Amino acid sequence: MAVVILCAFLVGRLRDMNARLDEDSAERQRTREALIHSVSLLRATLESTADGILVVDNSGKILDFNRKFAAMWRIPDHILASQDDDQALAFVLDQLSDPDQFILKVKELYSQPEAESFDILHFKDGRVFERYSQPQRADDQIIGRVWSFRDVTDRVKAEKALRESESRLQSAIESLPFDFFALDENGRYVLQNSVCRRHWGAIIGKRPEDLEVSEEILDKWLKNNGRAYSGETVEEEVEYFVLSERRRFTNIVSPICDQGEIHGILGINVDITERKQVEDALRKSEAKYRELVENANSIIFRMDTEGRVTFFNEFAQSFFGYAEDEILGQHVVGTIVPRKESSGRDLVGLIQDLVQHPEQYANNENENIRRGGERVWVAWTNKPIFDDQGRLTEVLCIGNDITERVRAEKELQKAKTELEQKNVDLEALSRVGQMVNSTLDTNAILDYLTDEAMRVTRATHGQVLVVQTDLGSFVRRSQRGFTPEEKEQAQEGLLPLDQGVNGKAYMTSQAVRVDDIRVEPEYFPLIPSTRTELAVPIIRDGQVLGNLDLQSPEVGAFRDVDLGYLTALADQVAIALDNAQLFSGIQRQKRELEILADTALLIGGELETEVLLRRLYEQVQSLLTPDSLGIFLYDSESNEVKIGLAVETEEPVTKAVGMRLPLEGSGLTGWVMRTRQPLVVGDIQTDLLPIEPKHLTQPAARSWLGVPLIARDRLIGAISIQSFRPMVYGDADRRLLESLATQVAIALESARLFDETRRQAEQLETLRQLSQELTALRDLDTLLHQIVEQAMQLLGGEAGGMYLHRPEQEVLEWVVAVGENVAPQGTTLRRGEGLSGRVWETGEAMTLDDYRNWSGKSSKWPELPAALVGVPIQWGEEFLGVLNIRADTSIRPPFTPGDAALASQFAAQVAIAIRNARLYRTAQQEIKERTRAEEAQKGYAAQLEQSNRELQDFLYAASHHLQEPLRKVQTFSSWLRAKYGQNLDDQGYEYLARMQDATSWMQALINALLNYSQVTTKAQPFMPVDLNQLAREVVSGLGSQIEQVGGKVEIDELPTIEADANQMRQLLLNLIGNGLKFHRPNEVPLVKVRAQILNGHGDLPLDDISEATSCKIAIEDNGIGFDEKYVDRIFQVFQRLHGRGYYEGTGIGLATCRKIVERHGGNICAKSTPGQGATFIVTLPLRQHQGVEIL
Amino acid sequence: MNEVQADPIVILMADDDPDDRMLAQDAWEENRLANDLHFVEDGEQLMAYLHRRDGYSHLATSPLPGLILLDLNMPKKDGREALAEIKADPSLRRIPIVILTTSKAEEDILRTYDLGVNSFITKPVTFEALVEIMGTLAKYWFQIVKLPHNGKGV
Repeated sequence: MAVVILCAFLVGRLRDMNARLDEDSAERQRTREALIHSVSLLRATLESTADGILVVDNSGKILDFNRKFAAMWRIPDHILASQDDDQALAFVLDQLSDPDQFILKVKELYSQPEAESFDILHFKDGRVFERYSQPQRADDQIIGRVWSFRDVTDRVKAEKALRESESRLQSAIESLPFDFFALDENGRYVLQNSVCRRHWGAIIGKRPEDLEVSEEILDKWLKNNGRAYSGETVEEEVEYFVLSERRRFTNIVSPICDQGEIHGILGINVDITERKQVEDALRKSEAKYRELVENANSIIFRMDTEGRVTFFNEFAQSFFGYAEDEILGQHVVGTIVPRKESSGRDLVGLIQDLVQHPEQYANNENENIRRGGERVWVAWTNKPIFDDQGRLTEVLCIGNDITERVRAEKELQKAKTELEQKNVDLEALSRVGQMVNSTLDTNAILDYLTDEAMRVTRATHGQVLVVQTDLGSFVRRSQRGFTPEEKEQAQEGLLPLDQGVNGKAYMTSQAVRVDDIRVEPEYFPLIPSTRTELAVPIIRDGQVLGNLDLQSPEVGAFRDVDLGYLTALADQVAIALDNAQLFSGIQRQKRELEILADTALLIGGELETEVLLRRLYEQVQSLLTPDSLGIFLYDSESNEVKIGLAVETEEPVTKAVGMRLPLEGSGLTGWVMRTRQPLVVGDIQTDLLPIEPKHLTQPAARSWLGVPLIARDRLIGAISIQSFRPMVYGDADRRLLESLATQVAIALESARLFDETRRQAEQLETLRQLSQELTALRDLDTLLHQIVEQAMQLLGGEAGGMYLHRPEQEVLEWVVAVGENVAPQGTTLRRGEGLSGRVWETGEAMTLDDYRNWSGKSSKWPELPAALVGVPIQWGEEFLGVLNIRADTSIRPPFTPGDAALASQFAAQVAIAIRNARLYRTAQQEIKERTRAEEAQKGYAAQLEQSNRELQDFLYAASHHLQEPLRKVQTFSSWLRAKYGQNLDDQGYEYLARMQDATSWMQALINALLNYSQVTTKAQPFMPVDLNQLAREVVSGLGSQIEQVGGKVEIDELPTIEADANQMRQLLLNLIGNGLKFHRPNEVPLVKVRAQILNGHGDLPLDDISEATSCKIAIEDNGIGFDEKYVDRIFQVFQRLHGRGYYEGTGIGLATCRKIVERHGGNICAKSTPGQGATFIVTLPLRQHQGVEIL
Repeated sequence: MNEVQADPIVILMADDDPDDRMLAQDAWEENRLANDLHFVEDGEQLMAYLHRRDGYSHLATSPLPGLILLDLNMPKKDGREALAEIKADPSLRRIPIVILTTSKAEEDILRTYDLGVNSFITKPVTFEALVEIMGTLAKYWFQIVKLPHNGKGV
């Protein structure tokens, strides 16, 4: 503004000067100079200002402007040079966003020359100018106007940004989730956010005192605010009642400082109620956890992921014997976890894995070790502990002592394992039996049995060889464990029935085992790798069906104990082969039947005999209308004729159906059947007949026509028709009846076959069910009853039972009785007596049609008009008894040979059942006996232990009590010498001296004996013992003795082992002491102690103890040595190799050494050559198993 | 040191072994000691003596001892039990007790010291050693050590 005024002034001055020029030319020159000066000053002023300046006259014509003006308005030079105002104005207007307003302002000012103005110009490109205008005066005359422009674009922008940022801050404060407020320097609220408004209402302009709060809170606020006003930031927890709820806040107030001056304070109240609650809950749960853990009756500890202990509860401390400060930071392996379990399981690896993957070890049981070296079993529950990022930091382990349980389990297991073997065999056998009886696929069964045999014997190859008598060799059925090449190889070799291991088994019916086939010239292995071969014959009804052949590449691989089981397996193979034969027979029949059934379908599609007969009758009746009709069936087994259907004047004669007559006595019908010829009789009364009509012909009949029923050359029966009138039937009738008969014969034969096959299938099914039950059942009585009942059911018997052979009395005893009217149980029969006695005698099955009228009947059985069948029960060569079934002949026909065969099948099942039961009983007996034997053994062991202990106690007590009188002898003899020594002559004095020598000798002996007995009576628990330190202590204790003989003891690096420290000291003392004692005259005694670490296979370097199990310590001297033939003697009590005159000693030292070493589970031996020194070698385990001390 | 010992201190030895009692007497005499040495043969007698019961009721014949030599292994009531009783009795607990026994067991040594014995001595093998021990004991307890005045009881 000052520049504009100055410009206006200077312009005015120039005018003055021009006016004066006219007045005074004398002064012109001076004035001109002054003018030039003024103009240049004006220019300089114009150009030096930062504003753009424009000077116009009253008409708006541009008088002057500075360069800044041109630059600000970006007016090009050519427009400036043209001095064309309109053009310049147009250029200016073009840049403005509101040119009209610009013009309006200019015009307004021209109408008010006096006015000053200020306004803002906005440019299209966003620039902003301030425009200021003032009239130009000269001599109080307004002569024009000066415009100045200032570019304020940047300032406007900055102001806008500031406004925006303030509003953003404002909204940020508004949205803070906690109270936010500010107070000015007068203690009035000047700012609050929405939360604050919600909590406390509108407080702007108020003071804290104006708010409705308790005195207590107000005090606190004023105190905190006061401190904040003095420059401090205050943070305090306060409880407020807000929104009708009591909550906890952190109240923070802080001064607002500007250049060291405090203008007010800012404050916040943060609601921490939930956080507090969570903190409290956490604290409580931590306390609870701590209490739980500390007082738990379980071992609780934590370890980091390296396996170092980070926490160890009190129970754990007392359990493992470590104080907290001893165990924390220690690795679990080496403290509470041994490197290996007693069983050898590696625990180092287990722990390494556990700390990395605890989730895989949620529950585990392992052996642990107490501080004293005692091994304990602990069941652990392990839980991983993760940090916030989910990283595994620690493992929490909770353990319970299960040592007793594990020990008990182990003993139980040991006791059980062997006893169970028998049971396992039986179970397996039962399983195998079920498999055999429930599967019909022979190959599958044979494979299964071979696999089972290989499993039991651990054979690598197994096969079933079946005898093929017509080929004179074996045929391979099941080959297991053979590679394709081996199979091919084996196929090439023939297996004649009289050669090799299998040949021998076949010939002798005995199992044959060759322990090393390469050294037996008569045998040749078909598989090159085979060393042991075993062939078990498969026997059925005394006949060798084949062999179960097993092979192994190991010498002597098969055991005798397996033979029993293998024989049983071979029996099952036999059953399987038998079943297979039966099955294939049935299969064949079934196929035939199917074809027949098809044929039958063509005729009538009917397989039921009765229906067929009925149909035939209907056809005949309708075609030939006879007065009487009969259809007869032929039974080839009994050579009898059975009435199938009889009709008289269209009435069926039911009571005749089923009646039987012998073929020979069947009149005309019989003749037709026998001759297989049809017969037409015109008049029975007059015609010449081939046979007397007699039976099966109506007395009133006159005409008779009969044709045989024949199917495929087999006689089925016959059909005959009769008429009461003569001469009724001719050839046409015969042909008609024949054609009907032909059709129906085939159908009848099919029906018969169908019936028979169905019956057989039913029988087979029953047998299979039975044998399944048989292998599953062990109660022999129940089983035998069941077999008899099933046999009765199948054979249609009403009673039955079983005799068992009693070899000791040479009688049969009736042991199983089913049904009524049978002999009482316990009834006995002699050989040859009654039916069963006869069966026993002949070894053959026997049937009786009418027992009552049999001449050989026994008086011990009720006489009944019944049919009987009896079959022998046989196991191999052994006769076991007789199975009997009785049938009421009024209900069913007598037993046929087919029935007897079926009964034999049952008898075979009985035999297996009896054998299984015997096997089971024997096994049970063995188990009982073995248990008894073991108990007895335990008893002996306890007795032995007891007597050992007594002996030890006696030894200890004896040597202890012997000391007392000995001490007296010593005291009195010393007194005698002191008091009366001078009264004795030389010889007396000598005697006294010898007596005293003897008593000291005895004292030494007793002490040595005490030491010896204390190896067990005063034994200390095994602890880690550093043998290095111990050996050094021993050597320093031997100081005077070493000095006396001028000797030297060299000790190598020795290991730390688990042992009884006192006894190790005694051991080293005795052995090193001996080395020094038995030195050669004129030789400086030198004793060397060396150690070696051993594992199961040999030596190890001393520092590699991961595999180590024991150590060997050698004590070597350069003394007199001894003859090795005395090596056993030197370790016995009171055994000495030298007279007492030469070397001192009790003869108990080495015995004590041996006892110590043996108590530690090690051994001691010695090597020496007389005059060359001796070496004593002690082998000791590095770690001890606790609890098994052998006295 | 007391110049005038009006009443020489009496020593009471409890030991069941007659030989040991004789040896102790001899060793005592060998040292030419003026003090009286009294004997009891087991723990019960010892307690009777100290409580003036049974045959020990006369002060003249059974004066209260200033020192007790006690064997550990004795019939009826052994030294350990007697020791515990004496130390539990306020009227007797100040009497110094020296264990003189054949036992060398660490356990016995620890236990009797716990019960408050003053010394634990293992019976020596030679007579010379016994004489020396008796002399040393007498010198220590009667000349070197100052015993409480009511050491003889109340």
